[in-house]
Amino acid sequence: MEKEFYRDEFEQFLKDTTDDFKMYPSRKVWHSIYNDLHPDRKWPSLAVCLLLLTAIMYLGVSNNNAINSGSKKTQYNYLSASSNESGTVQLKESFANSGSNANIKNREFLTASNGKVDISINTLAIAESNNSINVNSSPTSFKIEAGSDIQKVSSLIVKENATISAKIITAETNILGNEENAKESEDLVAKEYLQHIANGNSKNPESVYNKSQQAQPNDNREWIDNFALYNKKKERNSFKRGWSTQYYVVPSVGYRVLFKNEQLAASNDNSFISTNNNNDVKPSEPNEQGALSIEAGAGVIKEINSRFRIKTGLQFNYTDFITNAQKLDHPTTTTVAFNNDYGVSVQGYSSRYANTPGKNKDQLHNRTLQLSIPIGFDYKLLGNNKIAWYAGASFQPTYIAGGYAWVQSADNNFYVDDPSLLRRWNFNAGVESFVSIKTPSGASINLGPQFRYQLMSTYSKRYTYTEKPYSIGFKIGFSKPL
Amino acid sequence: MTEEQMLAGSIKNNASAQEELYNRFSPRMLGVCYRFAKNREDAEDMLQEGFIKVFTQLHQYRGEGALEGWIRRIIVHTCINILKKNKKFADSVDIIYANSVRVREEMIPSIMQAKQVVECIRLLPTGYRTVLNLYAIEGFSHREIGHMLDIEESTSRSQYTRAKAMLEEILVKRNIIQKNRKQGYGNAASTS
Repeated sequence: MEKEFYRDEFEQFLKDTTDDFKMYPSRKVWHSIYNDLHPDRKWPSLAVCLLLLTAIMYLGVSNNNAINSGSKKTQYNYLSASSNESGTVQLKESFANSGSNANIKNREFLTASNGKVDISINTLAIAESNNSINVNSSPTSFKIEAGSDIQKVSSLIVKENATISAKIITAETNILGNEENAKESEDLVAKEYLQHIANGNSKNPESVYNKSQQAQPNDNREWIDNFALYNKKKERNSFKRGWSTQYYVVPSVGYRVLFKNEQLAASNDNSFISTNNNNDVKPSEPNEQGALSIEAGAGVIKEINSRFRIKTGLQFNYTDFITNAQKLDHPTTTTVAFNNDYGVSVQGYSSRYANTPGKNKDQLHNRTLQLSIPIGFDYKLLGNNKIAWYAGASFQPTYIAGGYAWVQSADNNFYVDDPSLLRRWNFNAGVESFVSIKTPSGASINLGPQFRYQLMSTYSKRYTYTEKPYSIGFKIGFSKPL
Repeated sequence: MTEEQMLAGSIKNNASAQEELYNRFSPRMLGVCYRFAKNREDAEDMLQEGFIKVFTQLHQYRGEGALEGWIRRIIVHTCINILKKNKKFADSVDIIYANSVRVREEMIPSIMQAKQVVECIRLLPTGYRTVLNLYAIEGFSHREIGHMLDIEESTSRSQYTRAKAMLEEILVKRNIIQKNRKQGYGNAASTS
């Protein structure tokens, strides 16, 4: 008795002290609950994601173009030299397009009176600010003054030489590609002049210029060939060779196919699965229609040979299809059939949507958010370097990040939403055919139809139906060599 | 918003009604979860899962008994289900394990008595703590506890006896209560 009293006292004490104990949860708990209860209201964040992805794609593409156009400017950026009367040398950056000699006019060479030159501290700044000079296309000058230490000049010229060599190779490419532009070789005179100074022969740079003036285009070419031999352009990074990046968006229309499992088909004659008390109202086949789906992704492509290439990346899919239903005025009890070891069993659910004719028509969206890693290949069917027709396929291990799936009741009369039935991991397959058009910038635009099919059911094995969504869309993509 | 309006709105999936209901009951329910959980993060996970169940099953509430009690029952069951998913939990409620457990020696923040008592309960090993929570505070019988935790009724009893003795020892040691057989248990501050 004493023990019983003792126990009650203790329990009462615990209950009294802990009953009013409160803790305030962080706000994220409610946000998670809200997102779970209202998945349809999460879609604004989907729009933000899409916007972000599009922005990243745009930045990626425009960045590639910027880099490309930047290198293009460098390609046609030539050094020239001019003089002034005070005995200083000015080296100017001038900007000229291929085939145009408009900016290569006033070239004269002059050295300092005693042959020893120095370059003031400004020179170094100019040498290092080549990029900004190129970008602005604005001539910049620096002084070479008499009576100073030649070593400083050499070190600077070596620095310049590195730039010059690269430019001469570029000039060679232009000239070999277009014989009519032979006059461009004159630009090299300025660089040769700088080399001349680098070698300590700063007294008679004019001879270099004169030599150039007398030279014929063919001689220039020979000269350039020889020079190019010793100033080969760096080989492209072997890692990057054959690799491209790609970005794409595929607006599509989503549908599904639905199979009834054998066990349920065999059990359909059993009355236990029927919850329809009104025998006059017969359920119809699910009334469905396509809905807008979207796919966006980024990845890399590796060319195996001229026709075959493999690809992978990261892909985001928003899938949807619509089930037309009738909204009920009040929740109605129904059952959903599930597989078990012995056949089919049913579980009670509450439903607000019926698969029967009625006035309160409503649309149920069967949405999923998916993240995939597509692994696939493209095969060139036809075409050349400018335009080509490809066929491609991919296998896509997929994670279902979220969704809203309406399942049919056992008697097909009602629709019930149960997110727990969604299978988290799935596989998709995609086939596509597209035309790839190469732009002058080197990027390719890829356009063509695409078909995507889910290989496993949307639902877990428990559910007695197998649903396989598919989508038909149009791919819009960009690819760009690394 | 009255409780009826809040209830009706929540059943209709009205977000503001659901939030109202959540705001009203979540602090106390988090207190319940905290007694079962290892830490606050786990307690919040339990609360989240529990409230999702509450909202999805709210149409099943018939108005029999207080709404808080109904919610509390769902929350407690959710806590137990989450605990049961942990493999170690099954061992911790086993009677063999119960013979060799020790109290975790940790500092208890002395804020207020309820908080102190809850923190003392949380010092108990998981199995002890769960059985004690269910029996002494939530009012389940040993048979129900046995069914909930998949253990024998007798195991639940012995777990509880040990849990109670251990908790008593902790509470006395921390000077939160004074053991007085004639007068029962009381606040150390008021009885001393």
